[in-house]
Amino acid sequence: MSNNQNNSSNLKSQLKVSSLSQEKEEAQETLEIIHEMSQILNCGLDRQQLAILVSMIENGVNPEALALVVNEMKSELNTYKKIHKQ
Amino acid sequence: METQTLLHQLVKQAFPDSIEDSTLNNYKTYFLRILNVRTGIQLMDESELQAEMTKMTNKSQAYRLQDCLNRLSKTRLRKKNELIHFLFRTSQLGQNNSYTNQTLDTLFKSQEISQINYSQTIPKKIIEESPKNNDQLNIIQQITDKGNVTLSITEKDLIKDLIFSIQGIESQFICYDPINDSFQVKKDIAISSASRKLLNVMCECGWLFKKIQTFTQSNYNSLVLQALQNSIKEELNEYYRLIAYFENLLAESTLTLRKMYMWLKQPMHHLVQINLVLSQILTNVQLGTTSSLVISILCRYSKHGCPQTSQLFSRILHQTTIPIVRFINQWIFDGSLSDQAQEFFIERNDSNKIQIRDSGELWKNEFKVNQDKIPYMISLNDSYKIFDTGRVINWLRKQKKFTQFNQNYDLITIDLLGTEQFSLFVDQVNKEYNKQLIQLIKPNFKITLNAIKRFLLLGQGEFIHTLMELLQTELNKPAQQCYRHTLLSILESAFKNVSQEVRLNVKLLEPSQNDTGWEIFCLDYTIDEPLNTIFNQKIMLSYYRIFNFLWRIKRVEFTLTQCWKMHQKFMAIPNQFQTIKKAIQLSYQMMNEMQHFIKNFYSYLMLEAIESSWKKFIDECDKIQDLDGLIKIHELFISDILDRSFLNTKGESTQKLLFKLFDYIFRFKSCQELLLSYAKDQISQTDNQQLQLKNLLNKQQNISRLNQNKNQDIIKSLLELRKQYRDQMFELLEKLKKEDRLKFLHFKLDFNEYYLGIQESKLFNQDLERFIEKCLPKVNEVQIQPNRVQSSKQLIQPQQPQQRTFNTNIEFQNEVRSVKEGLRLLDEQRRQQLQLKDQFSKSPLQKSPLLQIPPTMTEHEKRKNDEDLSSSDDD
Repeated sequence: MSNNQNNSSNLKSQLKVSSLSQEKEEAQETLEIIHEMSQILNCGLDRQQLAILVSMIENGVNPEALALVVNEMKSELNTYKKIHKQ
Repeated sequence: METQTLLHQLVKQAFPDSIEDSTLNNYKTYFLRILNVRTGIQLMDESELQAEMTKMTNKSQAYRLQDCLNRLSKTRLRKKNELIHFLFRTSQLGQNNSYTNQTLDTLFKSQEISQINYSQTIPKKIIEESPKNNDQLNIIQQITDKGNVTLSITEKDLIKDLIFSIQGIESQFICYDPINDSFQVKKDIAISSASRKLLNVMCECGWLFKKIQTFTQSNYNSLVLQALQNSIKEELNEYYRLIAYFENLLAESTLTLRKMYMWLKQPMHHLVQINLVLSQILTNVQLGTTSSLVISILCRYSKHGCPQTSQLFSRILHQTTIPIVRFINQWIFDGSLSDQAQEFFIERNDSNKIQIRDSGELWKNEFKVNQDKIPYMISLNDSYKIFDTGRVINWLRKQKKFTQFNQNYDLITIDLLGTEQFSLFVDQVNKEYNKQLIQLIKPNFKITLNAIKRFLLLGQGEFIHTLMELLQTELNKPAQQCYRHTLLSILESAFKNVSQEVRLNVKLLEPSQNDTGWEIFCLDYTIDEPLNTIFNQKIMLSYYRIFNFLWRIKRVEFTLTQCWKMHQKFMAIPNQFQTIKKAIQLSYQMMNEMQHFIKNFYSYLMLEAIESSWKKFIDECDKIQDLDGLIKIHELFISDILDRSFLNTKGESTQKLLFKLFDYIFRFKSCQELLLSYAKDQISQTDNQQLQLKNLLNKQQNISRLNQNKNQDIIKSLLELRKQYRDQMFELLEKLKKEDRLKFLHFKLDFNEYYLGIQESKLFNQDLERFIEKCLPKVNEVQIQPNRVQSSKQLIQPQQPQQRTFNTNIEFQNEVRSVKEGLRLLDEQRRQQLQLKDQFSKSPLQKSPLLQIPPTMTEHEKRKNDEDLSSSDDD
C-alpha cells in the first residue's frame, strides 16, 4: 500500500495535475490502461514496475533502450535467481 | 537525476531483497549505461502497430488492445508513442527470449538473428564495463562491425567537415589536393558515389572562397584595390552568415547534404563571378594600369544580364569608385593631387624633367591627362574638362589670387558618376572657374596687348620716329661697339615725350659679322607673372621678329627722308652745272620711286597685315572663355601677321627680295652723298676757276673732262643701281602677282603699270638687239642704242655740241639731215624686222617672243624720241 501511495504521488508530481483527487483518479486510470496493455502484450511487468517505467519514459528516456534494460534485467534476474538457488 | 532514482527503485523492486548492494550498484550502472546509449531510433508508427496487431492471433486481445490505445490517447501522457513503442518492444523481446534458451550464445547462433533489430550500435565502453557478459557482448560488437561498415561515418560528420571545407579549411575527411588544386573527399572513405559527387561540388565553393580570401588579405598600395578588397569582404559577410546558419541547423540536426547544396547554389554563383572578375584584375596588377581597368571591368559587370550579378557588382562598384570620386572632388574643387599609387588619370608631368622657367610652360606642361587611366564611365571630353578645371585652380593658386567659391556646389557622388548630369556638372564648374580666370587676366592682358601694339608693332609713330633720330648715331656704329646702357639712356630720354610710364627695355640680339647696331637692336617689353602664360618665350620671339622687320622698313623710310633733305640742299646749286643737275634729276627720280615703294609697302604692312589681324583678334577676344582659347587665338593672330609680312618659311624668298631692295636703297643713299660732295666740290672749284679763267683754260678743259668723267661715273653707278633695283622690283612684282591676297599690294606698287611697261620694252629691246646682231649685219654702221640709255647719253651729248663751234650754218644743217636720215633708217629697219617677224611666226620651228611685244613704241619712248629731236634742234 505504501508502495502504491508512493507510486501515485510520483505520478502526481510528474503529471503536474492541480487537484489531488482528480489527479489521483486520472493517474490510476492511465495506469490501469497501461497495465492492461502490458498484459495483453505479455510484457511480464507488474503495476509498480510499470509505474516507474512510465515515469522514466515521461522523463525522456529512450524507450528502446529502456526495453533493452527491462529485458536485461529480467535475464539477469533469472540468472541471479538460478545462481542463488544453487 | 530523477532517472537514476527511478532506476534505483526499479532495480531494487525487481530483484529480491537478498541481493547485495554492490551487485545491485553494478547492475544499476550497467543499466544506466545502456540507457545512455544514444541511438537514432525510429518510433513505431501506425502502420507498424497495425502490422503487429494483425500478427496477434487472439482477436479479442486485438480488440482490447485497440480499445486501450484509444483510451490512452485520451490521457494526459506526453510521450504516448514512446510508451507504446516501449511496451511493444518489451513484449517482443520477452517473446524472443522465451523462444530460445536463456544463454545469449545460443540466441545469436540461432536462425532468429534476422528477427532481431540491429539498427543500433552498442558502443564498446558499455561492453567492456559490463560485469558479467563481457565475452558475449564482445562477440556482438564484432559481428555488428563486420556487418555494416558505413555505420562509422554519418551524414552529420560529413556535413561538419563540409562546413569547414567551404571556408577553405581542411578537415577530417576532406582534404586539399595540391595536384588537382581542389578540395576532395578522401578516397578511402566509403560513402556512396552520389554523396561523393555532391560533396566534391560543394568543395568547389571552398576553393573559390580560398582564392578570394588570398586576394582580400594581400597588401596593395593602390587605393582602388583596397576599396575593392573591402567591398568583397563585405560580400563575404553574407557567406559567413550562411555558414553560421548551417551550423545552427546542424545543431538542430535538421541539415542534410541536399539542403546544403541547395543553399550553397546562389553563393557559389556569386563566388564564381567574383573570382572571374578577380582573375581578370589580377593578371593586370603587374602591368600597372589597374585602377581604371578595375573600374571598367566592374562597370561592365554591373550591367550584366542576370539581375543578381548586376546588383552584386553594382554594390562592389559603388565601393570601389569611392577613391576615384575623392580624387576628382579634390582636383575639381581644390586643384590638388595626392595620388600616391598613381591611379588617377591626371598626373604630374615629371617624367620629362622640364625645368619650368615661367608660368607659360607651367600652364602647359605641369599636369597631363593619362588616357589609359580614364575609367570607363567618364568620357574623354569630361576628363579633359576636369583636367582643365583643376589646372585653372592650380594656376590661380600659384598667382595667389584664388578664391574658393564652391559653396554652391555639392561634392560629386558616385551615383552621379555615370550619368549625363555629371558632364553637365563638370561643365558648369569648369565654366565658373574659367570665368574667374578670365576676369583676373583680362584687364592686364588688354593693357599689355595695347602696349605691345604701340611699341613693338610700332603703333606709336611719333615716339618711334624720335627714338630713331636719337639712336641713329649710336646704331651706325659696328655691333660690337653698341652698349646696352647707352641705348637705354637714349630710350629713356625718348620717353620724356611719351605721357605714360612704359615698361620698355632694350634687347640686343646676337651680332654676326659686319653688323651695325641697326641689326641687333630690339625693343623689349617686360611681361609680368600671370601673363607669362600667354606671352611666353616663343611668342615674344615672334614679336621681336616682327619688330625687327618693321624697324628695318622704318629705317629705310628714315633714310629716304634724309635723302630728301639732301635734295633740298641740291636746290641751292646754280643752274650752270647742267651735268650735275642732270645727275640730281636722275637721283631725284630714283628717290621718288623708292619712296613710293617703301611708303606703299609700309602702309600695306600696317594696314592689311597688322590692323586686320588685330581687329579679328580683338573680336575673338571678347568671346573667349578660357585660357587655352585665349592662347590659341593670340598665336593665331601672330602667325597671321607673320604670314602676311612674309616672315614665315613660306615667304622666305620674298623676304630675301625685300632685303635686297632695302640694300639698294641704302646704297642709293650713299651714292647720293657722293653726288652731294661732288657737287660741293664742283661749286668750290668753279669759284676758283672764275678768278683764274684765262690762265687755266687748258687745265679747265682737263678738269672739266675729269669732272665729266667723275660725273659720268656717278651717273653710271646711279644707273646701275637703278637697273638692279628695278630688276628686283620686277621679281617682287612677279611674286606678288601669284598670290590672290597680295594683288592689292601689287596694284599699289605698280599702279600705272610703270614697271610692266619698262619690263616689256626692255625685253623687246634686248631681243631686238640680239636679232639685229644675228640677222642684219649692215645695220651695224648705225649704232642703235637702247632707248633707255639714249636719254642718259643725250645728257652727255649736249655737252659736246655746246663746246663744238659750228663754223657754218651748212655744216649744222648737214648734221641735222644726217641725224634725221639715221632716224629714218632706224624706222625702216624696224618695219623690215616686223615683216621678218611675221614670216618667222608662220614657220612652225620658231616661235619668237617678239610677237608678244607690241612693235610700237610706248608713249615714254616717243616722248624721249621727241626730246632727242628737239634737243638736236637746239643750237
